[in-house]
Amino acid sequence: MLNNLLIYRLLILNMIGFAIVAWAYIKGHLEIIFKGDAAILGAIMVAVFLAGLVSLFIRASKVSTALNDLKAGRAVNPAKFSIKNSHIGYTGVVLATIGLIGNLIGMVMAVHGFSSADAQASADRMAVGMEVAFSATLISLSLALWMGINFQMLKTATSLLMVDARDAG
Amino acid sequence: MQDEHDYGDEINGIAFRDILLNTLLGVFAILVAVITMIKMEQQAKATAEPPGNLMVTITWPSGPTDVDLWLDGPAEPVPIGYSNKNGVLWNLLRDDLGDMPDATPLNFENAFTRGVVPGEYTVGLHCYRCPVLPVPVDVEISLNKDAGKKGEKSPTKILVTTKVELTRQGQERTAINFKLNADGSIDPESMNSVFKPLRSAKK
Repeated sequence: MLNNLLIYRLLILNMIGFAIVAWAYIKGHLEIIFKGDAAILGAIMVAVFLAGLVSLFIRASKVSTALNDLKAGRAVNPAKFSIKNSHIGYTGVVLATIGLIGNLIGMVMAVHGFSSADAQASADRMAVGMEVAFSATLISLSLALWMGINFQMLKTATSLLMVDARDAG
Repeated sequence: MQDEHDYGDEINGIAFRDILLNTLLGVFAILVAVITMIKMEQQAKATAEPPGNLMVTITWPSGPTDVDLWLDGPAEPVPIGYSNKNGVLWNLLRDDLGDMPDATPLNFENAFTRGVVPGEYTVGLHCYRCPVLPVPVDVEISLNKDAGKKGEKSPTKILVTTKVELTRQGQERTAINFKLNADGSIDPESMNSVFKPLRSAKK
């Protein structure tokens, strides 16, 4: 029987994800993250995502090791696994929340100093604020989706581990 | 076993609020864009500079009717009309012959003064070719004191509007006589429409 299947699945999924990111970078679609007014928010979200990803692989390696042990007939106690994995799911919530905060910052930038007397300048500020708001939403939801798929794979593997451990025990 | 928290629902809830706020921002942006366009249009109107100071415009219904505008003013040796378009004070910008030859059905003539010269003015109308009678003619006199000057311009101000009806072919009528003050205002006591021939006048 093959071992470490969860790790391989996650590696394939994330390699596809990073390939898409590389394609977007080559095409210049990632400039809004690193060069626009949403650059700081983008950097924070990328940092949170990468931290979540590292944590995901650490947890996945533990779940995978437990599955390997179970396949080898060794006893496993998976009771705390799902609790210890839960912060990976919460990373997606954090990413979406940062996006919402970025959206609000963009709105504040858009309406700050709005004056109908100086409509041209107000429209320019509005455009900058909208760029920040929409960029924050786009980045946060994309990363939250990516993290969500990863978490779902980890969650499924953990649930199967618990079922198999109960059946074995 | 502990019930697992559904983070998917939580993310969906945040995403929904996020998109809702983006939509609100988009609607607000559209409102700002509309206000900006209206402002720019108003500014364009305000900064459009007429070619002269005192302006007389006459309009009449579209068709082959040819009405002529005649003008007199202080220091003007000969009244201004289609046969004498350029005076020392007035300039007739266009002699509208009705719908021939014309790119649009709009019938109007206008004249301008260079400078605001106080004194007696007369605006006359002549029914040169009137196949359809009567001919209602709208007359508007407006003033832009700052036309031709550098710097910020005051907006054009309408001084008088009146309506004159020409009832027969060849009829000449005085639309208005008025006295212009040095500050660009019209002496209200001076306004009348006592006939003063201009077309065949000799000073």
